[in-house]
Amino acid sequence: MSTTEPTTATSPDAANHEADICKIDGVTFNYGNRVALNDVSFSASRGQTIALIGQSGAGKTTLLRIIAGMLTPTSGTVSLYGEQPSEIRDASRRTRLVGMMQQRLDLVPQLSARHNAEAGMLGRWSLWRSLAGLALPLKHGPAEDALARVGLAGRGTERVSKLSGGEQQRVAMARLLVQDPEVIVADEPVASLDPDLANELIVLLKSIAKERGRTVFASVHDPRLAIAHFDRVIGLRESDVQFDLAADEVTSEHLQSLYERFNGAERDGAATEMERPLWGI
Amino acid sequence: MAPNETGLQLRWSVLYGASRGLPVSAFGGVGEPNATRFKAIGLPGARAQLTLVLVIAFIWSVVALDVPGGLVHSGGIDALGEITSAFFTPDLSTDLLGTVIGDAWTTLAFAVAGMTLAIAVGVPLGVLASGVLQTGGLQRLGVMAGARSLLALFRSIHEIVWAVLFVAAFGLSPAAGVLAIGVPYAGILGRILAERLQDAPQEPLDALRTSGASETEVLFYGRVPSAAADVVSYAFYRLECAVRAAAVLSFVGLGGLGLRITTALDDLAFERMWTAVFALVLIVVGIDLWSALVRRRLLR
Repeated sequence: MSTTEPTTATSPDAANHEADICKIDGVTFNYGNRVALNDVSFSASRGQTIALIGQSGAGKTTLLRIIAGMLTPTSGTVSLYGEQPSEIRDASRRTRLVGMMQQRLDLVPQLSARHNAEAGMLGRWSLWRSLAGLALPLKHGPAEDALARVGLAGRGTERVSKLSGGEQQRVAMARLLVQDPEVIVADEPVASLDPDLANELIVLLKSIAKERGRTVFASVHDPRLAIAHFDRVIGLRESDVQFDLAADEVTSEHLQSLYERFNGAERDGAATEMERPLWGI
Repeated sequence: MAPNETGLQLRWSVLYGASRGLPVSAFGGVGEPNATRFKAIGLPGARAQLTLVLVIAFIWSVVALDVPGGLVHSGGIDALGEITSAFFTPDLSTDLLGTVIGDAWTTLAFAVAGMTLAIAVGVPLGVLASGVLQTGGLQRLGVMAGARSLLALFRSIHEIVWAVLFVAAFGLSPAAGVLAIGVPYAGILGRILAERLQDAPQEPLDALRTSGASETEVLFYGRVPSAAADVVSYAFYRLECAVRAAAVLSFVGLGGLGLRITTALDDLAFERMWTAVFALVLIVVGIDLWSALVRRRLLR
């Protein structure tokens, strides 16, 4: 790939090297003629937890969706464990490589917690196995284990619509555990929760990732959560990486320059106009 | 063409001007200011004037009609009284109860068999008509259009008309009755199912796709659960309708409660008629209770 000058990797087989097993290389993404991401490059090693912070509209969600293979970048490449997620057609291989947890509304409210968690197996199961899972009283081992791991032991048969917001977030996490991808992508996993609960769930996500050696990319609304619990923090501003630092190197000056408002009034207008479509996607 | 065009424009503008300029007071609408003025000074508004005109027209039409034997049957009031008093004294003799229970069973059997056929035909067609399983462009459109037009054909013909057609084909056989209910109801059920499946919220479906679900798995893990409660309660409502339809179809000679009601009416035996009608009501109430139970389980 000779699109842009690589930041860290130099050798062609760098993708299989532990240090930068996940490589985002010169990724640009345009929605029509609006630039959502502008030549973003960084890499991560196995088991690293990386938080993306920045104002809404900075491109966090777009970047995460590209990493998860849900969007194909306009230019540049994403390479996870040597594979480009958006190019993998085989569902089983793709879901083992990367899994995504969305902001909200991503569970099926009418189904039980157990069936929602089991949806993490759909990439691996045959159609008949997945139908049998719905219709027959089979063992739900992996799903029940995952629910127990996120603190919902014995509550597998409850309907998701009857669970609280925090419990629903745990079910979504259990589904990701059942899927058990190498790379976990989480878009605002705790956005709608109160601070204590948000903290607890981020800790849970981190400890699961650490015990299994999974790489995590997560956008986090609250920079304090990012600094407290993640290995690395990447600040995105106006479609660009503003800083990429180890969590303990991030200072309040960094945050201030990341979150300060635009100077000119007309730039402000342009920015808010851009925010809306990015949020909606 | 130019003179013609101007002519057309002219006529339009005249019409337009007229519609704006004329004081249209009688029918509200354009004369809205008029109507409010009437109201303000206590005179009847445009709507009241219209009502008056229509009432006068109705009375005039009734007077002008020349119905042989008079407009109201002379014995009508008496018959109405008999029917009313019979309502409180239905015939509950064991003889009749036995036959009515048998008739109710026949009617219910027709309704259930018809609904079963409707579900068996309507559900697959509804899934195809929703187009949620196919992803390809042209093929998907073709399947959707085919299934949709079939469903439309089924439901655009009333069950009684289907009954006439099937009786003509198969004679007075139970199959004709079951088909007469099953075919139009399949059309209605399939259409409702297709719409509910399409309307399932997209976000959970996308999440299922991200965790590797195929479109068939998305159907069963995402769309069906989201559509189930609505479609099931609608199917129960349709079962009630099927009971009514089965009763009506038995008027045309398929046996059951409807036949009992007609023969009782022919004999002017209103007590017997009410017994059969109450049996019909009981079936509908029973289905309603069953439906409530199932719905509660679905929404548990």
